[in-house]
Amino acid sequence: MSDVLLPKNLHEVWKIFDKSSETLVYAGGTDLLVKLASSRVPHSTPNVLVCLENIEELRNIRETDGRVRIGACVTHSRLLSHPLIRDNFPVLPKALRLLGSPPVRNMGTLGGNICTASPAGDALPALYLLDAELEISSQKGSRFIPIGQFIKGPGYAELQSGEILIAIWLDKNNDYTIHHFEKVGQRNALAISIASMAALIKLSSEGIVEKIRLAWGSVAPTIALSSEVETVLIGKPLSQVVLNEARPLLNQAISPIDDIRAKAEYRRTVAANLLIRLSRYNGHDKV
Amino acid sequence: MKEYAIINSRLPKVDAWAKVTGDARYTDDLTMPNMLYGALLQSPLAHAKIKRIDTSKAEKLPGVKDVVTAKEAGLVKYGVSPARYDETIFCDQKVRYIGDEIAAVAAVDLETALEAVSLIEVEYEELPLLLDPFEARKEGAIAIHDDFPNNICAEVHQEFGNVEEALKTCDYIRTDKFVNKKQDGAFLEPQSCIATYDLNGNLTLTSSTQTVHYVQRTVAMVLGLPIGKVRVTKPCVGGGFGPKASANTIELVASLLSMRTGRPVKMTFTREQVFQHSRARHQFFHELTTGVMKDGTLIALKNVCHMDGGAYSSFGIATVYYGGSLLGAPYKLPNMKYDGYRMYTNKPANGAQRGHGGVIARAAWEQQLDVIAEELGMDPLELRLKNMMKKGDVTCNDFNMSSFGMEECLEAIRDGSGWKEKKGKLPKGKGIGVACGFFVSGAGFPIYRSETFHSTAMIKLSEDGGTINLYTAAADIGQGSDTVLTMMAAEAIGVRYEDVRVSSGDTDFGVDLGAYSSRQTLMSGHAVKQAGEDVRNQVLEVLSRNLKIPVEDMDIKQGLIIFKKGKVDFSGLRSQYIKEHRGWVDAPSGDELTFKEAARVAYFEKGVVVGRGSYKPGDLGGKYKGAAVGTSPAYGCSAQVVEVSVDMDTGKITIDNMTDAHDCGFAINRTNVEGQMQGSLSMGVGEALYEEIKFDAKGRVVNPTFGEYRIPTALDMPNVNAIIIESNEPNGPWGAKEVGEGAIMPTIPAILNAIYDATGIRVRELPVTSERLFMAMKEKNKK
Repeated sequence: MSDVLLPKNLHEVWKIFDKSSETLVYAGGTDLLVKLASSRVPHSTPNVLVCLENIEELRNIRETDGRVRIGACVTHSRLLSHPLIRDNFPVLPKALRLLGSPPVRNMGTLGGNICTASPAGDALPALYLLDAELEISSQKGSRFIPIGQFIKGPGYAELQSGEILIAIWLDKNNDYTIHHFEKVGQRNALAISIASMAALIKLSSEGIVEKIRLAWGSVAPTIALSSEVETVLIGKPLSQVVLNEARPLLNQAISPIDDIRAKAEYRRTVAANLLIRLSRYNGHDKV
Repeated sequence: MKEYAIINSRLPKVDAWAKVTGDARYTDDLTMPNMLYGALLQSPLAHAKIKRIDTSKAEKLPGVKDVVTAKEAGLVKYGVSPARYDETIFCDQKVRYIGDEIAAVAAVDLETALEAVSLIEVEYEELPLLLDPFEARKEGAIAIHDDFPNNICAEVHQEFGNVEEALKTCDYIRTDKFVNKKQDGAFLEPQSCIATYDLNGNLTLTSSTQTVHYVQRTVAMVLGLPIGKVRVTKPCVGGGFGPKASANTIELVASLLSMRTGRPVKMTFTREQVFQHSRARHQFFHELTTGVMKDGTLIALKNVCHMDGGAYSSFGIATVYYGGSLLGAPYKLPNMKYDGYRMYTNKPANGAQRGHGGVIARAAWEQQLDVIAEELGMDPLELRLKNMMKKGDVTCNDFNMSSFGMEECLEAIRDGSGWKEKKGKLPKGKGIGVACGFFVSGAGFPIYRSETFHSTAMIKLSEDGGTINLYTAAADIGQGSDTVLTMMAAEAIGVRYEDVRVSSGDTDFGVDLGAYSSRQTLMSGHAVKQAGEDVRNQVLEVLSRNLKIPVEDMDIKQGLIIFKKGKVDFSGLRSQYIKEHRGWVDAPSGDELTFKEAARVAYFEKGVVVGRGSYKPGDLGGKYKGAAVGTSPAYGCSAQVVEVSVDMDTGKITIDNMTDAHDCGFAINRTNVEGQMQGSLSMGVGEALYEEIKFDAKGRVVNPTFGEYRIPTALDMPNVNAIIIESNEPNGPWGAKEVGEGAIMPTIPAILNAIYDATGIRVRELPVTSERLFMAMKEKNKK
């Protein structure tokens, strides 16, 4: 049995950190509480669980100088319906719509999805493409770190003892015309992704790729990026032929594994097929 | 068709308000004063000798009230079929799967009980593991049960007609193999129970069960109590689908702990324990050889089936028979040979699940029939129509189709799905498939040999005549038997639906074998109908004497007495009733004599007005060994058309449309019948596309959660066009027969046939995950 503490502000969090050495921090608990419950032996759990979801300053979304600051404890449901997110970063709600189920989206938070650092985290490919910057705080102050440097490996994020993630910063000025997310799971809801891909694309009026950013989930220890694939597509139309040329480059960028949900070979092929499917946008300049 | 006041309608379920408001109470919602919590110590090894058990540390933990092992529980063997009692409450010499029960603790709260369990020390000596049923039957393999040296728990060999000779006459013969994976019942409510042993030596067990009767018998036998001292009752139950149709470990352990401590004891499975206890669908390995004539006439079927039984027999003896017998229909098939083998392995015991042993055999065969139709250049729906049995046909294994609306089902789905416009005309990536199936309306015999009634019912009128109490031991586990039986009672008596109050699922209310084998509408229904008619006759007879009007000149409808030959002066009865109930709100009024006034007259004469009903099937034919598994008073049947889309880049299958027609004989509650059809289809979708219990090399279930053991969500199910066919079953109450399980039979093969139509791939291994289909398509493209 563990105590669950519900601090109301950051000051209270720091006080808890001062007092207890063995703490486990969470927000929605959709991942952590399931893990704790499945090991039912009482004394294997940490001494103190610290739930951040009641901290008001971690729960708001605001705009500052062309940047949007999302509190780490904003739920996926809230993000889905928030005009700032919907209008400026449509790729994010496209991904979040496929995350878990309504109850999971009502409880789970964006900060939680990041700190869990799963390669299958549904919000992560979009956040990588949006160059999300993370605000990490401790009693000593704040630091900022790009999401790609924060997430180090499966389940492993660059969070020091005494630190918490308090906000996610996104730059508003992007001129992408296509905001794309696709996920392959084993059913239509409540399915952890087997492979996913997010894309931000700017096509010229002639349908030529001017800018493109791509990210894949569940096919590498962290979100997979490939500047090689992006480079080869720039200046070309999104045709099947062109996209197929990029397939070998993608192969080098990903390193999927066999697990309980799918085999590596399937993930590898599907990751490439998701890329080739971008040809559906060939000739469409806005989606 | 005859007009009915209550049945054949769409009345809301009796428990609708409680369910939609969350007021319904399930076992784990209940507490008792002074209640203890029980927890199990289960084996972490799949096959091992127990060298030593030390419970001393657990006993010393404050808050612990009792610790029990085989030493305290005894070694009385039990199981489902008396032919294979192979379980004891706790393991004594060895453990046979991960989860096998070794000890239990009762403590003041669950946390203490769990901590005490972790303090019990067990020393094991590991034994070789047998996880593969084919390895298990090899010569020299270690015996999981000493009495079964080759690990064959049961085998069945049946032949009807002469298959080898018949195959020689066939124009076309083909053999196919098919395999599924071990399933979980995936009911939402884990098993839970509270046992209360009182100072007079009565044990009351409240449990999440499908069958209070069998649990009562098992608990009494294993714990050495007189049957009459054991009462088993169920509150709301959140699904069962088969695995809850026999006594489980916690029912026995909680009872034992309560007897020893004198306090109520609650035990509830975690979801992982549900997966470990299992008793759900087996893994089947079928090899089917079918012979036909050029014109599509079915001549012979040879069926060889190996089943992974898991560590204990559970329902397996019945399952291994059903794996053969349920292919005897719905097609005319003169020759059928079956060889079935059920092997013990070091995995959770497999048992019964919706459609019992027939679902995978059906999936295998209906897909093979599709292949045969294609080879013969026939429309698969036409092939089925050509061979279809009709009312009055008897199968080669002696099943009597006393009603059989199979042809109507096929025609309904053909026309309802637009089959003719779609078959063969869909673009690549889209497909349409058809399949049929049938199922029993109740097992013809109890699971133990007995002359017992299968269902009894009692209807008691209240003293004021205004309430009709129906008592039945039938189990409503969410499927709606309380509603159906209430409607039947109201119809039989002639009163309003809301005047009948049902009390059910309690061994004190009578005998009922319970909610399994799709039996309650037909069997419990017969008993309730009879009890209702008994009450009706008793009331009318007393009224007849009182008013001097012949019984045949009266009727009861909607709670009113109908005098067929004109007005009758009943003012004396009315003024007496009103006088006695002055000050109460429900005085009778109006021009008609009410049922409650009539019932009051019957009360004055009899004191107690009780209607009685009881049912058992008559002689059902079939004298061969194993005939008891599959013979039934009636058979439901169904046909389905499924349409799918396949994403060629990922293998993802989307079910676009399902058209299902089911012959339920006569629909007592039409909405409920459709609900059962939809539920069956949803379960079939899960088994076809997603569900598989996975094991690691040590025999541990690696996906014991609904996150990684995937059943369909609302987003995975299409709308279902559910078409009710009514063939008026002569052996059913008002013509009713089953819908609960038969509707799942065609689902899996109809999906498989649709996938083939979409992709050209025949998948003979379930589940057809996106990955499995994708890799098969990739393989095919290579060739």
